[in-house]
Amino acid sequence: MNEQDLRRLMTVSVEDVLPSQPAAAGWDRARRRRRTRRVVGVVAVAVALVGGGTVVALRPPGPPPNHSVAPTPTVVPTHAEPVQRPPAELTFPPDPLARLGGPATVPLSERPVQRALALFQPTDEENRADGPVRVLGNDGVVRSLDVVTLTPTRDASGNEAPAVKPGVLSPDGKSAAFAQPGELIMVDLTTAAVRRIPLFGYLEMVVWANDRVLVGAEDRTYAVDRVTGAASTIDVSIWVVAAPDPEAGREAALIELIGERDGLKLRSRTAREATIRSEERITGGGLPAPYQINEFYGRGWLHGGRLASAAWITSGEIDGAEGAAVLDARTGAVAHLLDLGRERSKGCCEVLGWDNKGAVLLRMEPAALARWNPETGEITGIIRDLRGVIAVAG
Amino acid sequence: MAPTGHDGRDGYLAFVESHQHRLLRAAYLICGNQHQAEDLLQEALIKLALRWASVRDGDPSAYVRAILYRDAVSWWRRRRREWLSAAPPDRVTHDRDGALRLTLHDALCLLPPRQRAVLVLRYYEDLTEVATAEALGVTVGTVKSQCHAALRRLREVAPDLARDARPRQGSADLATGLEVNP
Repeated sequence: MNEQDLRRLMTVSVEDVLPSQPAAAGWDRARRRRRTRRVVGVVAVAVALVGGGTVVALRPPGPPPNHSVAPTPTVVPTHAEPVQRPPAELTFPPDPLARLGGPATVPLSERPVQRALALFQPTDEENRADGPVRVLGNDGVVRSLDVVTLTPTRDASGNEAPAVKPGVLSPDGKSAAFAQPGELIMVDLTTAAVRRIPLFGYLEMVVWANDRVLVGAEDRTYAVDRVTGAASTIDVSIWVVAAPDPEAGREAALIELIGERDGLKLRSRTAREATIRSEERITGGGLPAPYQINEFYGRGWLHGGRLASAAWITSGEIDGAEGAAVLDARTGAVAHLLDLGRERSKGCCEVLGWDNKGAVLLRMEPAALARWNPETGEITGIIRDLRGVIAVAG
Repeated sequence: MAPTGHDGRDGYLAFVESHQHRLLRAAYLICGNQHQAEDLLQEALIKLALRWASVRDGDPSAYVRAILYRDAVSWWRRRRREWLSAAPPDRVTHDRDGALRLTLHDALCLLPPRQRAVLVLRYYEDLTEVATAEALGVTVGTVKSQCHAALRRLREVAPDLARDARPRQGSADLATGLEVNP
């Protein structure tokens, strides 16, 4: 085959691919999206942020923060379970995590944290790291991560991504772990000490799993002891394994979300040997027709017996809507589904974890961070428009 | 400027009418799935509409192409890796060209997203290496290396393409391992 053949094959292979949407669809959807952003902007001006306000309770395993207050629901749910929808306009009650939107005021090396609530990596329009990583402590002060210079992660094909990803911050907020090409970098945020653990491969993703850090590349995953730094390979995919519940203990099963549509499954592996214990088909549970999960994306997060993840879903409106789901981690039944509609960008709404009140933390464009209580349907904004990658503790 | 009312709407619609077929087909070649290709194109067209006032007097084709291809690479980077090669072909065919099309479809799905994007830009969109690099926001060297790797991978995963396609005089031959024109 020569290049002319390749051109010809490419041309004929798509000759019956025709647009199904009118040309005006993009214009109309852009107008609606712009209108939504304006509304959010107006709300942002109207609701003044209260500096030094209440401190969110992000499931601290250690001593509780000084001013732990449950998030204030501001929206009465209007949709019955199990399918819920966000309100047309999010409200943003004062929340310490909103301080991530402000600049760092002190280097981490000068003022380590007692416990970090979140990390934030600003990015540019091309999703490249743009400025220092911010470390928000439970004292409300934003530090700059100055003790290590992170390079973008990359794969063997040169595709790059910022080193800060959801999941790099330990559940207790005391450490951060960054996958880097050829090494794992662990930062003790309470002392600003840095430890480098050489490993092989284009490492890209990190998951905290109790006393270990799982760090992986396209073709391998290592389990690294949090204390000793000893590493061994483990037969689990870093791309599909859910972040374990930190309260579940070191022997808690590793759960993978695999497949798509009717082939979606929860695969359970033993914690240490990663031996497959069981596979449960993911079912719609009590979802009304035609709702179903098409595919999960981003990291899944375990909390008690539940698992939350972002997903592309089939709704009454479209096959391919954005959504988030909460599953029963034992049976695979979908317990709650958040229908985020079709007007948001693809992959807009990655789940970032749980808080200690049983609410799911997720991106929810145009909000950079929102809180969804699947049991009540309450949804509130936490951080307004903020471009970058957020990792929260817990 | 916000895309409200009829401010620029007609020009935008004319642009989309004349370009969306080709853009969708390019997106399909990258995604291997028409539904995802339409999602990808719609997202790029929304971004174009949001920026239409500042883009329309420049090169909106280059703008939307850059959005489309970079989003494609970004999307696939976020997807589950094991799913990348698991999507079944959309169509079934029994003629020779049809079989080659499916072989090409399957082979493209086995390539990493950026390599797929490079091939589509170079051989479907007929862009130069420089224009391909601009569209993807990478260096020309990256385009060359990705293209070389992609063609080599195509030969590995789809030897039928090399055997069945007709050789043409004076053109680079993928089956012999020759690099394509710079």
